Amino acid sequence: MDSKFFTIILSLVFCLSANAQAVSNSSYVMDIILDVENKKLTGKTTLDWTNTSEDDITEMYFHLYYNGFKNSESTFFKDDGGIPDFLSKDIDEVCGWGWSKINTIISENGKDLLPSLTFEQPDDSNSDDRTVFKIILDQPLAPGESVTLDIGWEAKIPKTMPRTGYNKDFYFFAQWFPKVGVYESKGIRGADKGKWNCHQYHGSGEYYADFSDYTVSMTVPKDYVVASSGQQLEHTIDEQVARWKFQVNDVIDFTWAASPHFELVEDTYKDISIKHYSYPYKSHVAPRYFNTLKFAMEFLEEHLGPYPYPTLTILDPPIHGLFTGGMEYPTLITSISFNFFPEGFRTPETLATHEYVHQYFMQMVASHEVEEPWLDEGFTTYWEARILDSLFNNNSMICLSGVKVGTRAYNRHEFLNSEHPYIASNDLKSYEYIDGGYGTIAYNKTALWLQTLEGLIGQEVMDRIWKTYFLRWKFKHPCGRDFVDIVNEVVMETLSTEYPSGMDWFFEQTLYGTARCDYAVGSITELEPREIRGFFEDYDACEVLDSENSGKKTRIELHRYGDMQLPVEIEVNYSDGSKSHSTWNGKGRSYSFVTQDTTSVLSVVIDPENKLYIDENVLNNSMLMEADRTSYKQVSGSMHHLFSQLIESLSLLF
Amino acid sequence: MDKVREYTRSPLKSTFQNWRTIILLFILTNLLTLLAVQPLVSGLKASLETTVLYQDLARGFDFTTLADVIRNNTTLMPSFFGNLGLVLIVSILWNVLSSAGIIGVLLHHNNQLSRFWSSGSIYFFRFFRLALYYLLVLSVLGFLGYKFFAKDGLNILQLENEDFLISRFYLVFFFFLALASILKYCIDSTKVYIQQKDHPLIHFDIQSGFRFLFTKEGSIGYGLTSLLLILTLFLTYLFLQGAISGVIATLIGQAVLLIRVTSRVLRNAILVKLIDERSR
Ligand SMILES: [Zn+2]
Repeated sequence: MDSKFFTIILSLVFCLSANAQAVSNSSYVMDIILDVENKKLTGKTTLDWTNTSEDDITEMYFHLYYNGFKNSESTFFKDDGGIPDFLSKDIDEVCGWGWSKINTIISENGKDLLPSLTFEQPDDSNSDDRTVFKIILDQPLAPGESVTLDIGWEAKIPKTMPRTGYNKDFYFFAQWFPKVGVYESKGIRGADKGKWNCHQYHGSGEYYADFSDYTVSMTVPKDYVVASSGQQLEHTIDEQVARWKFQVNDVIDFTWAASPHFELVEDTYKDISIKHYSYPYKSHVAPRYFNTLKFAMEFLEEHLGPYPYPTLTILDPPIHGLFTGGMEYPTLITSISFNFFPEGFRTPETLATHEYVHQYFMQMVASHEVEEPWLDEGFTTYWEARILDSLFNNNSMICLSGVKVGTRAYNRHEFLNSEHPYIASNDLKSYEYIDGGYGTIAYNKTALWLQTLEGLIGQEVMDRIWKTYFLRWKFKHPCGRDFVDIVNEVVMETLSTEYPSGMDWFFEQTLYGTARCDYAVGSITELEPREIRGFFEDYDACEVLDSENSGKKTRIELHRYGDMQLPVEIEVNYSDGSKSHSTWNGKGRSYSFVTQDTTSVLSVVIDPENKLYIDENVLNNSMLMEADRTSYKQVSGSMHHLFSQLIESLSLLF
Repeated sequence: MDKVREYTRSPLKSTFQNWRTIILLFILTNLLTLLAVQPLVSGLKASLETTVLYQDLARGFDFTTLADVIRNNTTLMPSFFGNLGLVLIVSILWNVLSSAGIIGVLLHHNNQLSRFWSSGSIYFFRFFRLALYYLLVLSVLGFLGYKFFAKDGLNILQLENEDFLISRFYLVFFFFLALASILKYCIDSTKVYIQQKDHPLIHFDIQSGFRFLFTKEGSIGYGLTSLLLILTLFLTYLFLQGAISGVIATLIGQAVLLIRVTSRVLRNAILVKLIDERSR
């Protein structure tokens, strides 16, 4: 072998392994026993955690998520809309509450750190909330040093709680094990000094975690099948129990499910194994998931980068496991489907795509879902619509008996139709949203202004922004400002004439603001030919000149009803089929201009390419000189046909 | 087969002889439709007439445009549904009256509209009572169907799976439809008996109507009228599924409506013929 070639190969291997090393700062080796009789988990965790900061670490913070279900006084229960009534109404009948308890925390020196354990409430000082705890290390951990902790813990599994718990013999474990918080060094996400970031468990907003390597062994009743994050390493059965073992590296969480009824259907995308787990009565939905997921995988591979894990698991829970559906976990996603839904309701496709996009935003690009939910939910909503509308040609939400609804259009409608669309900006923590604003503002509004940004700067530049953002922040923790900076950087590089000082003005109004956007065509007026009168060249001759040697003049007036100011494109259509285009900077409340042409104006359309997707009213975006009688007749005719058949059908009853 | 020919030839003849009634029904259905859709038509016109969006809507369902129309015109849907409710009440009353009118002209072999109106008004209250009985029975059937459907509860968290619910739904739906169609046939037969016997109380006629189903003529009639009904409903389905617009759609739509109205008269004509035959 050529020595130069050998050196290159060696350095490549070194780089790759170095890169892999750089991603995870911790590893969890867990041994779990599932006791289905008593609805309990017993766990032994060996946590290896490396101090990657420049500070000495003397204490460590952990999440103990299951205590969110400990009683009615937890912050999770008290949060606005934390637990829907239909999930919790029977909770007392079967004592469906859950908890998690640490029994031992042994340091490398053999010292039990349990006596130092205190529960912390960094968000709301609710002393009844036990979802975050702190321990004091027996010796400070210098930068670069690692600590190994053996944690003995147990948990009571809650019944049908949001995202997790059991129902019948279906078990789903999400946010289920004691998990270390994130130590943010100075500079990470704008931190001015190193500190622990470990929020209590809230009703909305799930994630913020460092990348870890997980090796998890589960002991379950022998007829149970385990569906899990990562790759299966082992499955052995003895007299009573079955042992399953899974492994996955460089992820921010680990999730698993168990049931005796799971049926596995498999497919592949390139060398990635896609596993579909559901109950046998739902296995026929698997091809719908595979088709959508493979399209989404190819789409994001092209636009962002490849999915780097060897497996992707999709779990479609049984109807009584609905409470776990529609969630994203690293390398494992859950969906919801009902056999009574016609295929034209594309809920399975929509959910699978949404949750898959989360593999990029929140999983690989590990932003803080609690502090800046728009960074993952909003981005995911944008990509979900883009992927699905490409796959299903703008009827990706519903396609049933002529009723066609696309995801992008539906998201816009959901935002505008919400009770208070302008009550908050995107710059809120997940638990600070009230009145359902979390869903509509963090998700839909973000998608709306991202689509508008794309309209303004063009898809090519937008794609460059996405790729830059993904590559720069993959396996790191970005904050909102990091995204804004990349937008500015790319825009100033590629569109320096149009936007020489970047897009901060745009983000001020959309991301950090609550302005509404509504541009309208106010009026179109044909101007009477003016007579030109008075003294001209000849100081002695009072003249009346024939006015129109210069064509027809039309005055067009545009209005801005909202406070949002965006540049607006204007299209004027003439009766000879020609068009003219111009732009208004969109800043004033009104803007008028006069066109001059040999033929008369037929119509004026503002934003003809629908670039300002955030505009809240499309009805006033165009104006015709003459009413559209043809369409009126067609639409009225269609309605007449439909209703006449309905009215005639009454004779079947009377 | 000869019997079938015999039982359809003269009803067909009397149906076409009653072209005045058919035209009247056709015009009234169109008028009621115009009243029903008026608020929606004018609401859409007001919002879209001078926009370029109207043509998109004319080409097919346009979610964004419709959503924006409804959001920006908050009174549109309430006024549409309020008006629709009123039109439905008028339509129901009209259906009761016209069903009495149709049987009147057929039974008396008098194809003048004066007969239609006089039978319609004379038997209106008896037919109305019959319609109420039918609705009552349908409600009870529907309630029993629902009870059976939901007998193990509908809390999704307690369901093992949804497949048994789907089968149960189809079962209930099939039985409901079958029973409702048989009942409706008996009710239609009763309507002929009401006018034929002219009892002030309709209980005897209801008994006759139900007994008729179990006679040879009755079962042939049930088969024939059901077949006719299925054919016209299938035609309606085909029309509503077809993505046609413009003048051709208007013509086809009106033709389908005319066929449905004619088929309604023909079904009654078959019944009248069969009951007449049997009473002889
Ligand atoms: Zn999401």
